[in-house]
Amino acid sequence: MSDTTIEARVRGYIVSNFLLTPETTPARDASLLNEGIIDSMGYLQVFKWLDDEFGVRVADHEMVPANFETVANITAFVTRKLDPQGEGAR
Amino acid sequence: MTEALRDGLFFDAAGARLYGFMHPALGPAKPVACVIVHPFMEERQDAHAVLRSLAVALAARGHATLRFDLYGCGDSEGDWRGASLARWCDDVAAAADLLRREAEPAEVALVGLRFGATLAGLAAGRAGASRVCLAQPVVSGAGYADELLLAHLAAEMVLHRKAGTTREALAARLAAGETVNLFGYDLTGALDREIREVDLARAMAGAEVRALVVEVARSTTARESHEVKALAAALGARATVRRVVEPYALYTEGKRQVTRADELNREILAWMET
Repeated sequence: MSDTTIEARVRGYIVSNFLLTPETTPARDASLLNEGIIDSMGYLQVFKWLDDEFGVRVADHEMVPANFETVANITAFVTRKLDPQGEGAR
Repeated sequence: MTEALRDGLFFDAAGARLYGFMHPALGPAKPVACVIVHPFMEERQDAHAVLRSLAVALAARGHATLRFDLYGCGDSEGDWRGASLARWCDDVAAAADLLRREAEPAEVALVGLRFGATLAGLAAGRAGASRVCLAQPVVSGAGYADELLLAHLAAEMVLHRKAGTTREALAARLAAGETVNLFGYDLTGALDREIREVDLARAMAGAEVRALVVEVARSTTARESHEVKALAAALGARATVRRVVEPYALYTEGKRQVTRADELNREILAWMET
């Protein structure tokens, strides 16, 4: 699965579940935390969705903003988890 | 003792007053009446409108239906430090008794969502229920308990930019007799242990009830639930299994306030006629 596909799915999920209008779609590097777009309950949903959609489980030590602060962070995290050797990134 | 309170009512369950809301059957009453068992914590609040709409729909089809708040939840008395699975199962049984007194049905069905479904399954025998409807049930208590602790870590990540602990460390705190705060609810070590020991598939393997198991997926691409599969296998021919796709969150906060779950309601209403 390409990064582009993953990012589209991540963005689609966030827009359809946490944003009020398509016009407020955040830039890929905008902070979902600082903008208050996703709160702790929301992140729980994101973690569940990652498991349901990609089979990606979040370990406790991975629960840091570097993995979940932005759409780009989440995309990169999923990409790494799906392809730890980085094959898909080439 | 039932005390009328405008639209709702309070009833006694093991010394505590529980809040309930009766939806009498509209038109000729069907022989099966329903008790709805809510999910827990934030999921209870977020699912309120959905479960209310289900109760209204059941009553409109002639099934008297009781919604109520378990001990330590919603408008009922008590707090989680005094809660246990046995206590909550007794609450479900008390609610079923109240429904029998008020509506005089031939049978009682328990309808639960998420951990409410789990309680419905565990309490079916004690409540004398002939059927249970389990919507997106928690089958593995251990997995659910981990999910609860994950909520604590997610809150830390949002507040402090980093989860400052681990689920293992939280489990150790619980084992040492401390409580862990989950969205304002105090989870005790005793309750955590009880929840972790739940294996709904094993618990219901010999249950003499008819069951409807509904998997609620958010999209057609969502993977099938292994938990639902395991439960369905344990129930065998007694179970009807359905998968519905509800695109908006039914029991978690979302941008859209979902007030009813059409697909879920349709499956439950159809099964009640069987």
